[in-house]
Amino acid sequence: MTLPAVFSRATLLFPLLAAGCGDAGDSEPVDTFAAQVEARAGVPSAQAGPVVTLDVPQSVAAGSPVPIRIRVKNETAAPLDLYLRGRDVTFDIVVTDSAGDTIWRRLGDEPVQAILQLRTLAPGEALELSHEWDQRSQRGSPVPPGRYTVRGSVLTDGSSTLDSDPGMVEIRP
Amino acid sequence: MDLKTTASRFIVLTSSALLLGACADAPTAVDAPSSGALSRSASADRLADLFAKASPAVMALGGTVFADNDESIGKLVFGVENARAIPGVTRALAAVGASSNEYVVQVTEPIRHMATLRDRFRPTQAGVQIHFGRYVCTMGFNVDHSGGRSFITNSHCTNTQGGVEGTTYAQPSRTVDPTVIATEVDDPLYVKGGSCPRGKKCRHSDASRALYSSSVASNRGDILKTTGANNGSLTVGGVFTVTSQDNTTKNFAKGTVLNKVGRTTGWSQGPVDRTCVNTNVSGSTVHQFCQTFVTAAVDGGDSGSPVFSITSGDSVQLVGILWGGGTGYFVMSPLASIQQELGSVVATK
Repeated sequence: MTLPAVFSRATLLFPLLAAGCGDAGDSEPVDTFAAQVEARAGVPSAQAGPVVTLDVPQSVAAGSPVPIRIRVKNETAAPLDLYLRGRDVTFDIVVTDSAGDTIWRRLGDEPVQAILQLRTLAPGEALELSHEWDQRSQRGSPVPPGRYTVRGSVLTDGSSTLDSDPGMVEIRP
Repeated sequence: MDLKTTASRFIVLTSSALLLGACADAPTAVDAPSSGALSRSASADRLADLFAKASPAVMALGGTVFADNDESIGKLVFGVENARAIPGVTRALAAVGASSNEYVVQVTEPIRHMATLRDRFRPTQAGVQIHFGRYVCTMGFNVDHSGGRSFITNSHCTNTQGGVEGTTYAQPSRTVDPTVIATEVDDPLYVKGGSCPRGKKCRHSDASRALYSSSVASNRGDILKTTGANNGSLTVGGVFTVTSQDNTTKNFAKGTVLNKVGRTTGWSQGPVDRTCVNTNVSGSTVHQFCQTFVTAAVDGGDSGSPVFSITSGDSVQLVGILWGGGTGYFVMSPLASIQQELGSVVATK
């Protein structure tokens, strides 16, 4: 995460946002989430900003939806202001194959509205965003069994995003 | 006075003194300072005392810019905006006992706060930040409309996209200035059926109109200009003047260079890449007919930016309003479509 996206409490100018968002709206823990990857992208210290976490199951049977969850948590002792793009928080998920080619991207090629949302995370509060990948490529065809890399990001007000580290999922035959 | 320089000097001198003290044999007698050194010291003390009296007296006067006790030349230096301010400064210095060889008064450029697109502007001008609810957008452009003096921004920059809810706007934010500058009065509903794809709701523009509060001034025909195209600057360096508006074009020629000014990425400029595109909007059921894609920067907060072509110098033709984009491109609704849905507007100076 980079500085334009996150502001200290002193810069808070706007009302708090209490409720979570996300298209799937699933904020409950999912048992199949075995792999958890934490990222502190661009953050100089553990106290400096939110922790971006990607939850993705280690393996899924072919044809079954792959639940993916991004969590942005304020692990600091102070409220944290986030400037996030979209009327609903806009997040992207990119799936690449073992060759590094992009197989599927949540946002695809559709334009995203350029409105900016102001959101404050209380200490310990997390923003959770979830989506189910249907194991289909961008063109809509089922992907073959194999290992896939998943990355998540939350769009902000700058060229940077709140990025997770990659997670791995295996599609079983 | 240059505080950093002075502080540095102090630190260097103090450090030097400590080092000297540490290296010297303890009982050695200290030489008395020379009379020249004493004279310089006395002069410096007098200037410091004089500065303490002169600075507040002079800086209270109109047209003054700075006051400096310039140790390098052993004089007080006062900056003024123009020569007309000099006599007043001279009188004030005489009143505190300064002789003419103890100071210099010089004309200098005034120090200005560099306003950005996120600052407060009255009268309002296009391209500035507006705030509603928990969201931030950009004010598109000021217009005269049969319904009254208004500004145009995006439909999705209202409490609900499509339909009028009386969204109230602050500029730049409610905290900086809680004044309601304008209230949403027109935002046509998105419609289903007809040529609208199944499962979608459609319009020809992502635009709404907000009626100004009578007490809030607005400048029609002004679009704030930042320091340069595609440099990411938000600092205002001038004004574009809307001298014409394109009321007819929906199909812009590919390669036409268009510009926008928005509160997040400033002034960006690039060629039309796709024209009259029917497009879905990510994360929603909204479908927009006949939109224009431009290869130029956009990011969260730029929604509502005025889109224009430069005709000559700072004269521009208004062509539309930005509402979104993807990697390396923005999408805008043509002014012709905006007027088709909101009624005709006059946006020129």
